[in-house]
Amino acid sequence: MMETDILVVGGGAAGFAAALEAAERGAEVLMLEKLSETGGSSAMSGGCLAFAGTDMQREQGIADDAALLARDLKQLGGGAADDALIAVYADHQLETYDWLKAHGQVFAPGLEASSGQSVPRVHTVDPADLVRLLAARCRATGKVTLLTNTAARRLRRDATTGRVTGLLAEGPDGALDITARRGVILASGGFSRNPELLAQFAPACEHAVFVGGEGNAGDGLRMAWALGADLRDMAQIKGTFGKHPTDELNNHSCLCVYKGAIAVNQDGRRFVDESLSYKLLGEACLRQPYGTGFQILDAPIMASGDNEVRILDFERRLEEGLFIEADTLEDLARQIEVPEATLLKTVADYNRFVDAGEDPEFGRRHMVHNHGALRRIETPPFYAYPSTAAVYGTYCGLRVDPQMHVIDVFGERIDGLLAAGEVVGGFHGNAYMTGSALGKALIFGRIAARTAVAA
Amino acid sequence: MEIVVLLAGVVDPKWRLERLALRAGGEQPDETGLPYRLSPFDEAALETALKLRDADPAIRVTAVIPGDAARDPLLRAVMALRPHRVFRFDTAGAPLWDPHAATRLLAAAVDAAAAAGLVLMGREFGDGDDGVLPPLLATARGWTFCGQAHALALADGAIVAHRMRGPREEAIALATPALVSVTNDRSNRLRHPLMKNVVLTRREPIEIVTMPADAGPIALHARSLAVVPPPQRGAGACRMLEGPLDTQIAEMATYLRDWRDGASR
Ligand SMILES: Cc1cc2nc3c(=O)[nH]c(=O)nc-3n(C[C@H](O)[C@H](O)[C@H](O)COP(=O)(O)OP(=O)(O)OC[C@H]3O[C@@H](n4cnc5c(N)ncnc54)[C@H](O)[C@@H]3O)c2cc1C
Repeated sequence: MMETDILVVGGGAAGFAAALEAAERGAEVLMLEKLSETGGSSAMSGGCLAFAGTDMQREQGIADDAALLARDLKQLGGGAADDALIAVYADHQLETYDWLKAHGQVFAPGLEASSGQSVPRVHTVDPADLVRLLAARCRATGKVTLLTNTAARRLRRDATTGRVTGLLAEGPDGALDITARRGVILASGGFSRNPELLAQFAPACEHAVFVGGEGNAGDGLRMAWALGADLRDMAQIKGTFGKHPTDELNNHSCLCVYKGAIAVNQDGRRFVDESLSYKLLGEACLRQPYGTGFQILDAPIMASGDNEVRILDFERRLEEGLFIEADTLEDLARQIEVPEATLLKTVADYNRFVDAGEDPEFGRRHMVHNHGALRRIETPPFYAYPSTAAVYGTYCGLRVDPQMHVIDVFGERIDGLLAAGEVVGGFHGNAYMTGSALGKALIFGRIAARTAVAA
Repeated sequence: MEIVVLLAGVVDPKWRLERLALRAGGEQPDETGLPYRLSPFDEAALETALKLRDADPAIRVTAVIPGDAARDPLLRAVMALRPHRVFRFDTAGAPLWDPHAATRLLAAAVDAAAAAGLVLMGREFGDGDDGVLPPLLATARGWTFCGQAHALALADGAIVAHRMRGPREEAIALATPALVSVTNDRSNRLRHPLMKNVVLTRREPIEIVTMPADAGPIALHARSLAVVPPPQRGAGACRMLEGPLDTQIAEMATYLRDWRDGASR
């Protein structure tokens, strides 16, 4: 029988942010990680974080603030997202940015606008370094104990009060019974590695590629579900557009569309307003023949990428041979086996829309969300990036209140149980803003810790 | 012109070879269940063939993979790149590590395709070859041989092989029929298949050509087979820095300083 103040399940960004925050507030923390290495999806992510009103943005003349961020998030959520959770994110993001910097986190100098952002607010970190940094800071407090190869299995409840008092886990030496005096924080990530849950909740993603931390099988979700936890956004699982369908080396999507490319299907036709959130683009892409398409761009768009941001690193991928290149659109069409005349017409029509300032087919007005003027696709060489949708995260799950208490199907708190990170639902809603999942992991992780410490 | 690309495949290097044994009652390795990939040399040979086809529509490319059914997933992956024809030359499990037997076998595999003007293969053919098979096969058949080319080009209907010899690049006009072994290079990295073709090939039948009975006896027989564990870390020049962090940093800094001073002298 082990005992601790706060028990954190999962060693990703949410778990470490929670552990560090709790330890800095004097609590003793025990952290369980089911794999031999911590990091989860967080460490393999693109390292993009959505923050608004930062010193970096000010220095680069970008006007942004919490209100604009909240407005974008609401617009993306399309009514499905919980306003209270959006407010929590907006209210606490800047302090989390400052907290990271104070702990020595370094950000890449460039800021980019990506999915769902009205202004450039992607702040990029090396994601594995981020997790290592938080882990090192946790160790330095002397208050955080990490058990790797130890999986949480079942939550334990007090028979009379119903309060979650700890859990049963399994480690290398067998079963563990752990008591948490102030609460259990579930930070076990999503379930992109659990085919059964995906078949149940995301049948439309059958043909998508799945990428995510190896341990992300929805353990925390199911443990809380077993206690009657309510679930949110389960119908909103979507793949992210821009994953090369046959390349196995790059985990990340590539979003040339956000720098002005168009997306076409195997018939050579556009199928969507490319400035939309990449989750919506992914959804549209999976409905196309073969569930794939191509991003079509020209030389200036290729040159406008940013090799420091994993979803905009066009030239690096060109070097890796992932783009198909041709001096003419006709030749490009031949190489990607799309009807030549159709592709030529699609690009010519699109260029006319750009000149006229109106896209009557799909209503595209910007490069991404409300940002950036459209550009013609006309300067050779031309490029095609084969693209399908990949499910990088499930972005749905446990219903929580603004303090990160898990809420049951009757709208009541499950005492002693908190959640943070990808296991939490209700925040993203219908679409998705780049950087908001990693952001949510850190911000909500810290809030869950504060709630538990105060309990 | 007909180009035949011989593709060997290697056991996926990501796979841990925990179990390696001879087939029960046989003198051949048991490779059941091992996943295969194209080696970088196979990929270079295939891409070189596809590039020639792209340059001249009159060129036909046939890819041949010798082996048993374990190679079939590999076959589909190659089919998705749309050479004109792909078939497996069923070797009934005969291994390729006996060079003379392998040469006879590969010659029969090439014969099973249409009369080839050009045969391409990786500079090393599969896990068991260290580079002797391509020249041996060319010699056995009396074909022109060029080893370790990294690119082939068409010039006035002739084939010109490019290869590095020390600091020089050689361009060699080849009399056909010719066999060229290809080395991997940035310029011949294998393209990715289109998803459309991956999906379409999933449903296509696989062509299998059976080895003729007279392909010849195998001279070398294996008696045993074992997994050799990788050398222990630290056994060679490589070692982990030890001690407190400051000591490690100081040691590393000294090392780098010496290295720099040495390099600038
Ligand atoms: C390739 C990729 C790129 C991405 N890029 C971005 C990006 O740029 N920006 C962004 O905002 N988001 C991005 N995301 C999404 C984002 O990374 C995740 O949503 C976020 O990191 C989740 O953090 P987390 O701490 O909740 O979960 P994770 O980081 O996944 O950590 C969960 C941990 O819990 C462990 N665990 C699971 N079950 C148990 C159990 N029973 N017991 C103990 N431990 C358990 C897991 O092994 C894992 O280590 C990306 C995701 C992927 C896969």
